[in-house]
Amino acid sequence: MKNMDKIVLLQKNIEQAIKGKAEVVKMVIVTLLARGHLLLEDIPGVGKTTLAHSLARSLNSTFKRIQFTSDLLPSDIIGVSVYNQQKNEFEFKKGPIFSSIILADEINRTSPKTQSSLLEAMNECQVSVDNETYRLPEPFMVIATQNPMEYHGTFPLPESQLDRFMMRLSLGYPAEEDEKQILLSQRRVLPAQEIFPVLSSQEILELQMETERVAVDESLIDYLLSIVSATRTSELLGLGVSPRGSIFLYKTAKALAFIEGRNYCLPDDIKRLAPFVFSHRVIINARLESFGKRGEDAEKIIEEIVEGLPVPI
Amino acid sequence: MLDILVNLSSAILALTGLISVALTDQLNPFITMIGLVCIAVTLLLSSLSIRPQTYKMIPRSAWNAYIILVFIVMLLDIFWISGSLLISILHLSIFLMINKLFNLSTRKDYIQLFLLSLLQFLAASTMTNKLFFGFAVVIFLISATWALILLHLKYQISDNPPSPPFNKGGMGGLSGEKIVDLRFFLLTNSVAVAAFIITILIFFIIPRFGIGFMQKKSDDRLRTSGFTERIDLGDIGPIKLDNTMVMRVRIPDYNDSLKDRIYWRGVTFNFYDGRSWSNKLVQKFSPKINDRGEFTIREGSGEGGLYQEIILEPLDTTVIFGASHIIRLSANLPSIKEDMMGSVYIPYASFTRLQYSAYSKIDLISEEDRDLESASYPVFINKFYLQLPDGSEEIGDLARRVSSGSKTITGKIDAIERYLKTNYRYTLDVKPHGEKNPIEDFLFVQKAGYCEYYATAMVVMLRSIGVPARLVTGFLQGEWNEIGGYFTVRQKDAHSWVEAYLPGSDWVTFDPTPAILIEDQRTALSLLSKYIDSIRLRWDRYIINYSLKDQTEAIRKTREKIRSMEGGFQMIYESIKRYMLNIKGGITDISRISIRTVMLLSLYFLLLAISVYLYIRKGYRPFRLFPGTGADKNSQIVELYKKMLKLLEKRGIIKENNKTPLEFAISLNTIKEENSREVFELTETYYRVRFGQQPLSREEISRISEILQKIKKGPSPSPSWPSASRSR
Repeated sequence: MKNMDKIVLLQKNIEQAIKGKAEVVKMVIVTLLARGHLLLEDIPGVGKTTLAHSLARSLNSTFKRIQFTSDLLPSDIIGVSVYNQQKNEFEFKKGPIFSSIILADEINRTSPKTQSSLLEAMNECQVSVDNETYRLPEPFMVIATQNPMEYHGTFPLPESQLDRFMMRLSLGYPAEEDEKQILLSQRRVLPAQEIFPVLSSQEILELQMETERVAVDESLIDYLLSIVSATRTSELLGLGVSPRGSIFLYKTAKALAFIEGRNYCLPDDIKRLAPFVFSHRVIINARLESFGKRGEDAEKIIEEIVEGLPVPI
Repeated sequence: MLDILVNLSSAILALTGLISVALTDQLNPFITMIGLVCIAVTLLLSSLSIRPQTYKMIPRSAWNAYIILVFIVMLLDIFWISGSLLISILHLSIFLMINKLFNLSTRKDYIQLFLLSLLQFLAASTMTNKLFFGFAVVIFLISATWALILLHLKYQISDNPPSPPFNKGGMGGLSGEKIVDLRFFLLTNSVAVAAFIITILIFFIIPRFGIGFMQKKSDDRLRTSGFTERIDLGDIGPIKLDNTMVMRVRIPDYNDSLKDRIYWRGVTFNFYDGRSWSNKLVQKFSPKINDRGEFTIREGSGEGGLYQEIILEPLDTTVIFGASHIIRLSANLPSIKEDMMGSVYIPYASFTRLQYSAYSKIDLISEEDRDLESASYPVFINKFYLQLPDGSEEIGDLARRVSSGSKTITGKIDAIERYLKTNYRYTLDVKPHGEKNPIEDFLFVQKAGYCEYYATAMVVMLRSIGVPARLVTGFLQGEWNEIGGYFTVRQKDAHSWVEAYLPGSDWVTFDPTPAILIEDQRTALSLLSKYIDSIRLRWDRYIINYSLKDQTEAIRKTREKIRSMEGGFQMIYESIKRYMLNIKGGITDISRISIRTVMLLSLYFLLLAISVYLYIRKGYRPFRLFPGTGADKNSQIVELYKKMLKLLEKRGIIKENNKTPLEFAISLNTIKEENSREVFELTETYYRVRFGQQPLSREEISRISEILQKIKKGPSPSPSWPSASRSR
């Protein structure tokens, strides 16, 4: 089976459960191939968890779901050292983070202390407990969901945590036709449960390797950097995009090109991805900030900035 | 088409392997012929586009039986026919090759065929050190590259049939006919040539141990005569017709003044019993080694001398040759021996070609000896070099008669030499002497003979008038190869001459044999053969016998070159410094700048000049000065795209800066612009070439100019849309 077929298969498989959201599904796969983590931000009931679940089930790899609540502790995620009486020593019991795909549901419901326990895992793909460092399995991907509307008893993610997510996506309401399809396909079994694995971890790793070989012309890197520096100088934004942000855009552009069957990037890739990759990294200037729908506003501002920049020929 | 090419190249590869192994002359000629015929048949079949695998006249079972039979034959071959494992394996490989040639169907078959031919090729490399193998290497490299690339292509294409049309813009399907053209062959050949050049570089750079790895023992040593410790008169005669090469001697300082004065000296004899010569001073001793590692043959002869590099074919004698008289000799040998008369011997007769260099002192009669009328010789000389066989009184009378005209010793010697030279006829056809004394027979009856008779007669005559003399055997100068700068000495140049002792000049060479008139050989053919011989010598010298010593020598020479260049730099630097000092009156203390700095600076400016030159020359951009301007190798497509934008601009359609080319093309489609399809097509090509770094093919260029023509013509009849509105 060729690489393109594998990706198409994965896409079709996820779309069995998530109807009418081809673009979002594509972005999810882009994040997977670019070795990034995903933040799904949307109102309840549009299928955030279903999307994460169906991706996890499509891959033949370990999957853990962690429901983030206000009383969740770091050791509940990473694991804990337990005293073993027979061996007369402490033994490390691995927590749920030791899986390939982690669904961190309602991540903003837990305390910053617990949220931060994910930092090392997401960045270095390893965890340190009691002076010991443990490698996490590869591929490793965190899919976090959060609800932007409800702020009762939530702790908004700190910037440092947000910056580690490669993309922030929102699903939005389905189109009427698609919603009809959703209703018609309702059965006793949840749609995500009917999905069977189509790719192995090994195949994902291979695809990730292939992705890195995609060529990016120098002019495109200049284009990318011009967008980044525009966010840093823009009057509309209080905080621009970090170098990590530009690295992530570079990586996702490669992944998008790969998914579309090319071995080279286009300016279109960068233009298309910039809002998804940059919007959660910027802070809207305090004077302009409107309470509540911060995310969507940031996306619009990024789009405006990109539209104002010349595309290389 | 591709199939034919694959089969053809496989057959050619097989042919190369077989021919290279056949040319070593060690295989059974019958089996070789069978192999050649079979390859010729498959070559014919595949060029007539009949694929051997479809040519199934012979059933599978017959082939199986054939293979079993072949293995049985191989067993017989090992023990009874060829008796050698290597040879019988090679015979087997030919038979297996025939089987594979007629049964090429899967990739495995091809690979096995290639491996068989590689086996033969490698075997040939160990079995020969001849020049032809150099050519075989080149041909094998080229044909192997072709065959492998073609085979790979064949299966690449059959494994991946052309993709469906939706992938048109991306990596389209491969088509054999499209790929395999003249350009393809030039490309693959350049790969092969590059591989060859790299191999040669590695060959010369990687350190060698001892002498060449590839050196192989020759089967026979050349049979010579006249270089044993005892020779009968008439031994040299028969070989005077033999044209075999004996040695090659390179003399870097050769000039015409040395013409006919060089004799390649071999063995010396001092005792003549009337029928045969022998050496009564058989005692041999090891010469001293000086601080340069050279053997000093004649101690006290001093430095200098004529330098010669000698490559001696394997001979059945232990004596080695050099211009008379060798004073120093260096060779890659643990020890050598010399005898009392200046002959040099190696410890055992070599089975391989022997290479050594020697310094010789060319003898000259000193002034004091010219006027000498009588001399007293050392006891040693008197004892060993005045012996005469019984019954040579008649010869003595003749000698006294001939030499009576002159008073000096040298005059007498010259008189005898001249007498023999002028009064006797040179012939190789000497009648049997029977019971007669051969020299008397030569001098008084037949009056004809060849070098041995002349030389022996002269020695006897000299000795009878009291001049110490001895007989030397060796070779004449030989043929000068002006292309390679060396002498080619053959068996037919074998010769014997006389050395006479003069108190002031030591031993001096005399040759009473009349010069044989050699016809001028400067015909085109002989020139060609000289060329070939010179190439062959280099092949042996620099490939077969290439050694660590040569590498060190090469490094040393390079270093010397650099040193001398440094000297040149120094001079330039000094003159610049003086000039600068004159101008500035010594304000700048440039004397502190070291020579190294100057060298580095000049190197830097040289590199700068080269890179600027290359940058100015179109088509070469090692780095980009203005990134994003698209001024690199795919600038052509950028130019074409810009041209399209300009043409559209004339019609009021303007691409905004912030739109990507694809967005622009799509926007043209939404405003129903007439040429939007063409724009879209050009955009696709532009993307693929500009960002995918894929080459722009000739067809694409012509297609693009078609599109541009179309856009230039503009929309047909009614331009009903206000075209600028949407894109603005």
